[in-house]
Amino acid sequence: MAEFIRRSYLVVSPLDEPAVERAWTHNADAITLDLHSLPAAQKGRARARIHEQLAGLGRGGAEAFVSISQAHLYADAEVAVWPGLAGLVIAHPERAEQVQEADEAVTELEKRHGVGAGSVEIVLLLGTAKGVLNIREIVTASPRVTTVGLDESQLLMDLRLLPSPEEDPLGFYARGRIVLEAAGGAAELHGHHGVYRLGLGYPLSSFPKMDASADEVRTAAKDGKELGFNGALCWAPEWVEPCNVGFTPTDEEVAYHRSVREAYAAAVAMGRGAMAFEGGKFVERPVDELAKKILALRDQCDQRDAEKAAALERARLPRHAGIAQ
Amino acid sequence: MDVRRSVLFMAINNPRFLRGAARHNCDGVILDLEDALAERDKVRSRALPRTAYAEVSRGGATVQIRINHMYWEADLDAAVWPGLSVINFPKAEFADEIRRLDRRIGELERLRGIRPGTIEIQASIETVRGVTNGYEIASASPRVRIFGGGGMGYDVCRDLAVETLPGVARATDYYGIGETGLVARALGLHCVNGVRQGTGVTGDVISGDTAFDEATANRRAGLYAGITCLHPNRVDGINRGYTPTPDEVQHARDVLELFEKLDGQGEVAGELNGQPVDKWEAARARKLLEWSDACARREREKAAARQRLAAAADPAS
Repeated sequence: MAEFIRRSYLVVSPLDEPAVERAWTHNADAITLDLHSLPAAQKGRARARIHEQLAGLGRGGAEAFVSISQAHLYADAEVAVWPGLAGLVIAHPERAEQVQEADEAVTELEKRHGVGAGSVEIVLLLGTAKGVLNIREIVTASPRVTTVGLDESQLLMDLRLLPSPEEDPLGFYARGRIVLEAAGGAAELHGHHGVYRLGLGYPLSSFPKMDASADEVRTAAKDGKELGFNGALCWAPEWVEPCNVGFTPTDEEVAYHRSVREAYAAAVAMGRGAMAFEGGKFVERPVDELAKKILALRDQCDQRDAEKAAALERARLPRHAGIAQ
Repeated sequence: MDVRRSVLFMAINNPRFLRGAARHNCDGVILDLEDALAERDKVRSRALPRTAYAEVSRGGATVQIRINHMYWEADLDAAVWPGLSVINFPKAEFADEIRRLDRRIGELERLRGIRPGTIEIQASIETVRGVTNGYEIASASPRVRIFGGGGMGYDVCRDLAVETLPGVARATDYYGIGETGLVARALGLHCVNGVRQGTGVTGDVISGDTAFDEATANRRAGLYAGITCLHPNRVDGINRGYTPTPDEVQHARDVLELFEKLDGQGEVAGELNGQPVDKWEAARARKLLEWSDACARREREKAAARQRLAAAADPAS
């Protein structure tokens, strides 16, 4: 299992000062300053603010990311690779060499800017057919790659697809491929669990409405989770909480998997490898292993939530409250 | 044509299951050394295969054995004996694993008087890495004749930390099963992927009600590699569902007859009850008749085996 929990990546524009100022209050696991989406003419102004903004993002316990463009790799990375940065989000890579180039640039900048060597992660957002096809070489191009996501609206544009909301043009291939390749194909370089995976269920995955209701987001996150995604980009602060919830195993699931573990333990105690279970099911070792994994994931999520709650509480205390005693 | 419609799964250390195997009319039996056994029973269960094969095949079933991925070497030594057709290798993840199996099976075949190359391997794809290495795995040895998997069973779900959702087909189901299915067909292997495989294995595995429908659906989709079942309730439905009905057989005969007539007149296509008849339909009809004959032959073989068994039990008759 990954060493981190990042169910929600809140995306904010570095030029939207009030949004950046409030970003830490939304309980996101991660916050991404989005340089990539800005028009070229505005990027310079945005870059000038990155250092100061990075310093404030973590007050609620969120990890800080900056999303950059291939075309502006050096200028974007120059400001983004700075103390406080957890990683770069790189949009729409298509070949391993692009990731290797970013890796080398980051290595150089870590040295120059006093950032821990090898500490800056790379998050890849695939948004083209070539990227989806070449996913294995892309995600194994650098040990910095910890996460891969699917930018579906970009992929639809790349494929010149104008889907109707009734059809799911990417579901069976693109989403399936991203999940299984990120988990399995990436395992050679990144260890048994591969890399972390960002994506949502249909239709929100292909049509990211800013004003989606909490229910819609939670459902998309839950569907995405059951496909094998671990988190998602949040295009509005209102998406954060439903994503945190949707990507966390529910109380009912926890109760169910606890009862599976008990039934399996009872079977083993009786000297059996398998036992009939509710609903005509069998419990045997793989069923128990799955249960263990889901329970561990829930523990990790709970731990992350506790960390963030503690950080929020510290941040909200009046600055001198500790001194008064 | 190999007819292996219903393959009944049983723990090798349950004498009651082994004794009963001949009664269930299954085409094949898989004896399990893997997950159906408690860890502490695995060592002593390795003494069982050598004698078990004769017992479970008394009803005419072919015999397979599922070994442990982790204990493959010890399990192979215990399992490769005359009477065995297939080694089921679970959770295949790398081509090297298959090459090692192949070498050791070859050595044991020579040592134990089995014609070299007799024993096939079924490489089962059950994990995420198995899906992504599928082609290398399936092409690693000519013994790999049966291949498939890759759906959202317990292992893939564990790798991804997701719930098993019986009856729900997810993108990851389609992708995983699609990948292994393409590999199997590209290499000309029996593909064990069924129409509902991957969504069925994590749900109700005891009820016989769904067996007939599943088998029928598989046959109509051209998937002839059979269904593995965990409970004898399901055997009869699977056998029936995989066997063409008399109406289907008659229809196939009519199609062939009409096509031969058309062909004789130099025509390429015609119509039967509003349905087109051409060389593709004729090929399909031929395939159905071959399969129907092979099923009938398989039933006769099993009936003969059961008769011998009954005669041996009651020498007076």
